[in-house]
Parts: sequence; C-alpha cells; structure tokens
Amino acid sequence: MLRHALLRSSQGVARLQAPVVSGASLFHTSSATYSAPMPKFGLARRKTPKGQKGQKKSKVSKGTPGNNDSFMEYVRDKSISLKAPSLASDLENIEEIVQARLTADNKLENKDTLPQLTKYSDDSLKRLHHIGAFQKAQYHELFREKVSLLRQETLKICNKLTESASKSPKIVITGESGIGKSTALAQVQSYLMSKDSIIFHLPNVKTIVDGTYEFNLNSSTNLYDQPGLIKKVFIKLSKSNKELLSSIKLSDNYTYGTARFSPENHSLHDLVMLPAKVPKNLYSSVFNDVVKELQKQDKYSVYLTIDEFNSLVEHSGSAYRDIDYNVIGIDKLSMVKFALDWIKGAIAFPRGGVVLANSSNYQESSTFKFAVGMEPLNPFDETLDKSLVSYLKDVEVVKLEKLSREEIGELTQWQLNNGLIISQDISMSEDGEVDVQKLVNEKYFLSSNGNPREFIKSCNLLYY
Amino acid sequence: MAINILGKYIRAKYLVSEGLFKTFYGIGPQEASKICARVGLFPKMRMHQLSEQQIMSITKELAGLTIENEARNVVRENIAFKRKIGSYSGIRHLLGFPVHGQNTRNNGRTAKKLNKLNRSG
Repeated sequence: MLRHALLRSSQGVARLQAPVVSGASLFHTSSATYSAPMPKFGLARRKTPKGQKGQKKSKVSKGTPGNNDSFMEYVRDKSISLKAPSLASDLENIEEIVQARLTADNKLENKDTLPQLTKYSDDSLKRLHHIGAFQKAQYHELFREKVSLLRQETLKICNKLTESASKSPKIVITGESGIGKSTALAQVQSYLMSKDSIIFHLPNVKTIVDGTYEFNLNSSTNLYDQPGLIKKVFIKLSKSNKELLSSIKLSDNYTYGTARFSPENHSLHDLVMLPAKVPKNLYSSVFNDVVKELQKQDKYSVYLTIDEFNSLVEHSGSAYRDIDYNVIGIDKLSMVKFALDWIKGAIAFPRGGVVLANSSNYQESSTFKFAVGMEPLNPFDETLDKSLVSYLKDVEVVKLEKLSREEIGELTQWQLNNGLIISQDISMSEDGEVDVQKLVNEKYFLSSNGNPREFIKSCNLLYY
Repeated sequence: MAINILGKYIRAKYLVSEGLFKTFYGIGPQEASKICARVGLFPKMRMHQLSEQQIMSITKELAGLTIENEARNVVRENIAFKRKIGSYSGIRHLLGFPVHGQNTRNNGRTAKKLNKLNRSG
C-alpha cells in the first residue's frame, strides 16, 4: 500500500536512498554491509516513454562465442590502429601480392624466404569480394584492409598452375584448422586475376547438396538442374570477370524464349548477365552455352576454384530425393557433375586449371583421402564410393605446413614493434631490455608449434 | 502470414515438411518428407514459397492418406477391440491407467489424462 502511495505521490517515481554504513569503505566486504538493514522497497525505475531509446549500448558488443565478433569490431573501429599508429603507415609501404615476389623476367621467385606481408591490388580485392573469397574468421593480420601473409606454399601453387606440363593442373589445398587454406586460395585467386584469367568460383558448395536450391529433372541430360544456383553462379561470374567476359564476342546466335543473342551485338558478358527475358527452365541450356563459348575462346585461361571442397564430396548422396524417395547422388546434380567433370578432365578448356581448398569444418571422407592418395585403400570400408574416386584421382595435394620457429619469431617481433603485445606478456632481461627469445618460445608453444590462427589468438584475440 | 492447406493454417516461415507434420495428426517427419519428394519440392523449401499448383498437389497427396479424424478413429477402434476381447491393455485403458507396466503410485498423469476408451488425441 505504502509503495503504491509513494509511486502515486511523486509523479509515478519514488526514489529511496540505499542504506549507508558509516565508516565503511566503498568496496569493502566486511560483515557490516551484510548486516545492514535491507531497503524495504526496491528503487522504482522511471519507465522510458514509448519511442525513446533506452540506455546506449557500448560500441563494442560482446558477440557470440567462437566468432570473435568483439575483436573484429575492435579492428573495424580503428581502435587497434590507434593503439598501434605505425600500422596505418605500414600499410602504404606493403607491396601487392604479385609484385612482392616477381623477378626481373616477370616470373615468381621460388626461394625459401620468410613469409612476407602483402596486400591485394585494388582490382583483385574488388573481384575477390564479389566472389566471396573472404570468410568472417580471417583476421588479415589485424589490418582493417585485407592484408595477408604471402607464404612459400602459395608461390609453389602459383608456379604449378602457370608452369605445369599438364594441360589442366588440379590442386587441392589441405591442412589443419587455422593454417590458412582459404587465405592461400584467395592469394592464388588474386594472382590468377592479375594474369588475366577468368575465375569460375563455386560459392558455398555445401548448399549445392544440402537441399537449399530448387531442383528439377532435365529429361534430355537425365540430371537434376538447380536454376537458382545457376543464377547465383552467373552473378558471381559476371561481377568478378566483367571486363574479360565483355571482350569475348559470341561465336553463334542463341535464342531463349524471346531473348536473342547475336555475335554482332552481344558479348559473353551479356549472356552471363541472364536477362529477365530468359525463362527459368532454360537456365541450364544458357549455362551449357556459356561453357561452350569459354571452351571456344583462346584469349584467357579459365580456372575453377572451390573453397570448402571436402564438404561437397563428404557423402556420395545429397539431401535431395526423387519421386520414389530414393537419395539423389551428388553426381546426378548438374552443377556438381559439371565441377567433377572439370576436375576429372572430361570438360577441358584451352588453358586453365582447378584449385580447390578443403575446410576443417567438414571431415575429409575416406573416399576423398583414398582418391587423392592421402590414405591406402581400405577393403573393408563400406562408405567408399568408387565412382567418386574416378573423378578425383588426378588431383594433386598441397598440404600447408605450420610456421617454423623463425617465422613465428618474425611475426612476434613485428607485433612487438607495433606495440600489440600486452605488457604483462613481456618479460625483461637483467639488462632491462625485452627478452625477445623467451617471448618467441612462449608464443611458439602457445600457437601449437606454429599455427597462424592460434598465434593471433595467443597474441591478440585473448586480450581484446 | 499463413498458408491454408485442407482448412488448416500453417505458418509461412515453416519448412514444408515441418509444417505438414506439425499440423496434421497422422503425419510424421518421414511421411512429410515423402510427400515433399512425391510432389517434387526441395528439402529446404518454406511454406511461403509454395505455388498454388504445389499446394493443390500437396492437398491431393494428403487426401489419399489416413490423417486427422480418420487416424484418430483407427486408434479408437484398436482400443475398443482390445477392450472387447478383454485383454489387459484394454482394461488398463478403461481404468485410465498406464498400459506398459509403469508405476501408478506417484505418477501416471499422462495415462490418466489420455487413456480412455474414447481417446481424443
């Protein structure tokens, strides 16, 4: 009753002071606090009127565990740049990926040197964004802009792709979690872009087989088409290769419904743009014609790139079912069949190749491991899919290794110079100088003997 | 927004298979995905993505199945048959007690609620 009266009396707001214990300090935990009489009424909070915003949220939200959202925001908000002002000036001096290791005769040098901090060129960065090459949990060496550490393995892959004796080299990048597989793929893509190559990137390949896209049976090919996926692939292809595709003239007349394309008036880019006039059921024939046109041209090399490739071949069956409720195999889906044929060599382009990268979020199936030669044949393995093995047997594996102690040392020194390592981690020697060797040994141990993601975690992620 | 199938409103954001088995008595998750496969819907299709023609096809499929009151009647007939032949489970149904040997000293609330000769659900 009293509370109601109080609330009514002072314009709906009653303020009661908390009991003050005399002689007690502000944050003490003595029994005096606990024995103090509790207030009879709770503090009535003023209700915020409708439409008025409540308390302002802090700039850096906590984020969900595992995603390091708070750290990413910290980097985005320039807070880390303020902490280490030399980072911003460093960025201007960093060389672009390709220029960093180009020799006088315009070839990539292949020496065993330490990893080098490089940035993507403006053009390739834009195209990589269109492709969707950057994942959320890539830290880009703490820069707001996309910067990456150019390693020996990337150069090896680039050299293999450009100087390989085989007509169409096929490479799959493997390695443990956080080792830099997606980063290496993005670097290779950037290098290929600088070489005027058309990148045919399949985005989010897990969604191709997990039942996300609409599907229908194509009676002529006896394969299942996914029109929504074709449209998505075309959007990425057209945005990331606009200039190159625009310079390729069509070699034939094409008609889809009321939409007509002629060699005089249209380029391959117009076909890939997939105008609204083209009916949905003809998307697959447009796709086949685009592939034919790419095969006919000899101007540019064409590369297939897939990230998280192991998620595609994790199981031999997809989530789709036919009308008799039988599982549809992944090689019955036209887009997957197209990619597998390219990997096998059944579909060939005048110049080009295949670069795949695995993901540690999905397991490498026994079929994949046996097909690429990572494991011997297990005759008792019932999950082995022999048809899938035939597609993957020519693929070469490039395993990314951990960073060496020297490389971790270089990175630690770089972090130390920029003031990014928290002071409590730094121990001083007897001379009053920073004991770098001890710090390097500690970071090498904490980064599980040279894992780049674990290294960044131990230096920065745990503290911001 | 809701989609009307056979006089029942299903949330538009539901997956088609999810919406079917959550709405209709007598359809489980597997039967629902079988219906989707027969109609030619992709597994992650949502209710709001259905066209008029696809809703008609689903309705046609549902019309051929034993669902809702028909399915409830089948259960009632089975209970009535057990009571008629005087079996143990028939008697337990009559008394409103658990059928499968559960204790009745403390719990058995679900059985007291549901186990009747004229079972509702």
